[in-house]
Amino acid sequence: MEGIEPLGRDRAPLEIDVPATCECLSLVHEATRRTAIAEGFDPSAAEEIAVAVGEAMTNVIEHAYQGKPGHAVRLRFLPGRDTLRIELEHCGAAPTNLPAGVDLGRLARERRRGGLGVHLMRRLMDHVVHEELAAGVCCWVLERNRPGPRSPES
Amino acid sequence: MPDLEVATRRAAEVVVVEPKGFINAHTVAEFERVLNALVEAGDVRIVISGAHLSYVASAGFGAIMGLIEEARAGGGDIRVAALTGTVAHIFRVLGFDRLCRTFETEEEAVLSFGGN
Repeated sequence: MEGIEPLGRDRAPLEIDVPATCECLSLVHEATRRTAIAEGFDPSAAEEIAVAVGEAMTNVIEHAYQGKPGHAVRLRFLPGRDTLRIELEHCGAAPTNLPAGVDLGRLARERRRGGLGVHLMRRLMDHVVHEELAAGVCCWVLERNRPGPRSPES
Repeated sequence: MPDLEVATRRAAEVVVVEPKGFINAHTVAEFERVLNALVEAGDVRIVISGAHLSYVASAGFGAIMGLIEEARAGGGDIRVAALTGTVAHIFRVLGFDRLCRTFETEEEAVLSFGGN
């Protein structure tokens, strides 16, 4: 197919704007899962990537926008040679401190129901950061390495 | 079909909770409602069967985490059975296998309450 680049090799990103609401979480999950499969990840890896992206989306909805309606998240899929990079750009508040880890026993004793999302993102992805791109514009960046050996030039 | 349906049934002194679908921050309210109602009613011997879950986000595990000590304080526990695929993997990577007893089958989980 002349003119079409092979899958997963530094193509232009796929970008969609999604309302920052919990109702859209399943849509984001499915879009991510299908993109990951199209990029060559096996179904279980694709499901893990989709869960991680859902956690980032939930963090934006609940913390950056504090559950307030009328906001959006720009979801960007950037297939690279060695990784699938996913960005969630938003205009909400940046997290003040990201936990280094979790103590499940302590959270359970305190009857806490939250505090697991960032930890889960980090466990499922190879690289997770939150960046401030410009004044009032922030971005979650999640990367998952492609399966198999890296190419010799990488 | 709804994104999440949560059925319950009794097996001796144990209540089996069977969510079908997926649990994320949107659907977790229904899962929490069922678990809260059980614990508040004193039904604290709970088995959650994961056989029909396609995925569970941190909100779903958080619902268990927030109630497990309440159940234990009441003389019961929340135990988990029949996890498969990504749900089982996420359960382990979060470290929930150290917080919560897990079983291959629902029957084993129900029977485990026999001694305690």
